[in-house]
Amino acid sequence: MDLFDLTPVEIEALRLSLWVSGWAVAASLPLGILTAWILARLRFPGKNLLDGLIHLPLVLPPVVTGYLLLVMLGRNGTIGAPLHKYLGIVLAFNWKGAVLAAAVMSFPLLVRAVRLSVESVDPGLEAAARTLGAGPVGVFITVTLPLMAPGIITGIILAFARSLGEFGATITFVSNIRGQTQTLPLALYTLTQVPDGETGAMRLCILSVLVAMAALICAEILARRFAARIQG
Amino acid sequence: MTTIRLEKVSTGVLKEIDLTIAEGELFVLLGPSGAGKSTLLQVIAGLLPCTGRIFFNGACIDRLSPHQRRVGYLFQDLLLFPHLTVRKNLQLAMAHLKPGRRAAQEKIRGLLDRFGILPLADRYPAQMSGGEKQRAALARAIATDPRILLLDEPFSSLDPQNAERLRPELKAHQRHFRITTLFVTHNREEARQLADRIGVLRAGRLTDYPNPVEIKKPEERAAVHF
Repeated sequence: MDLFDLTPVEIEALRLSLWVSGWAVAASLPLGILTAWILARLRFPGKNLLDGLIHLPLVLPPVVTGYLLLVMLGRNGTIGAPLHKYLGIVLAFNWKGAVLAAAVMSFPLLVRAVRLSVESVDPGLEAAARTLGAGPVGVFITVTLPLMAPGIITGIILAFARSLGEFGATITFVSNIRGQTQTLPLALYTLTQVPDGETGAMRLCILSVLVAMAALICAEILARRFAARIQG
Repeated sequence: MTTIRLEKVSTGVLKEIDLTIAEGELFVLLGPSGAGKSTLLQVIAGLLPCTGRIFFNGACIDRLSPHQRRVGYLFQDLLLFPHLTVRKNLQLAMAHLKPGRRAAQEKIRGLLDRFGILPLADRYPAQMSGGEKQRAALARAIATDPRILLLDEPFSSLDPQNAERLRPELKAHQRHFRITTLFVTHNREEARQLADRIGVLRAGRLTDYPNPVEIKKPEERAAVHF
């Protein structure tokens, strides 16, 4: 079988993985930038607690995170029930839930990368922009955000790669439903559970490696371009 | 043109500073490191809180945010935006004035020409020498149409030859634009060359005002020794 001749199942898993990871990053990026900026620049009571909560998915077993999501956001969950009742939103056992699980699991990586980039921006440059007539939002948009760009790109790619590989929280929260929640790792896992699935599993394994490598190379090129521009 | 008046301004190291700078005057504040010179500039720019009152042309500006005060601030390390070309640095400084596109381009061109850096308009700060960056930063500070120019030891990072060449240029620009200016330095010779009037800041207190001509006399040098 030709490696580049993908089967419908493989195409479906790849497309779903890219879709879910793309949405997970897009949805969490604004909040990630805001959170990183708050953690880097503000001092307030409970900052360590907030920091800990954000990083919790990094240290918790993914299955625990998935189970917590199910308890809170499942159709009968504490948040999920009113969401379903009043807004008609259902997250469990569909692709939107997979997006949420991926976003929660990748959020700490996104925040860490962006936070480092906020910390690397000289506050003097922001003060200079303020004396030049820019208000707080103007300073952020014209000075802080562009200088954070390399860190934001790194954060996006790390989060995207983490979302592509997300397994434990996803299978616990939204199960393993072909076409709905069966991303590349879940499809690969399924193939390892059936007789004669080794070849298919290896193909998905290679596919996963190729996608992850492509994402990392893109990130490296983009981050270098932005860094070169900043350094002139 | 703007008259600046400070009444009993105190914060951190600064203790009850009273100071008036007349319209178009170049006032040099002389003092050793840690005396509070930069702190005073930051207070006037609104970057640091203080007690006491600050007036621009008789109007109290204490409650204004930095972006509302219209000060041109030349920082010690210049702080040109590294991700923007010189032209865009100036554009950003003028954005709040909301000039038309054409008027903005003309003003930027005029300023860069006056400061002798027009050919460098599309360079990034990292591609420029220390003296060129210094000129660009001054052009940017003036692009805001400031009511007061605050200069924080702008020549301290330059080699002596460059600094020597740029001092008269600065004085000529200040005269040309007739901007009320507060220049801080620890260099007595620099103060003497530039100042219309000199104040000495020691341990947060403004102690005396030797005349820039008199400072050449040995006894006056002793008076401003630190």
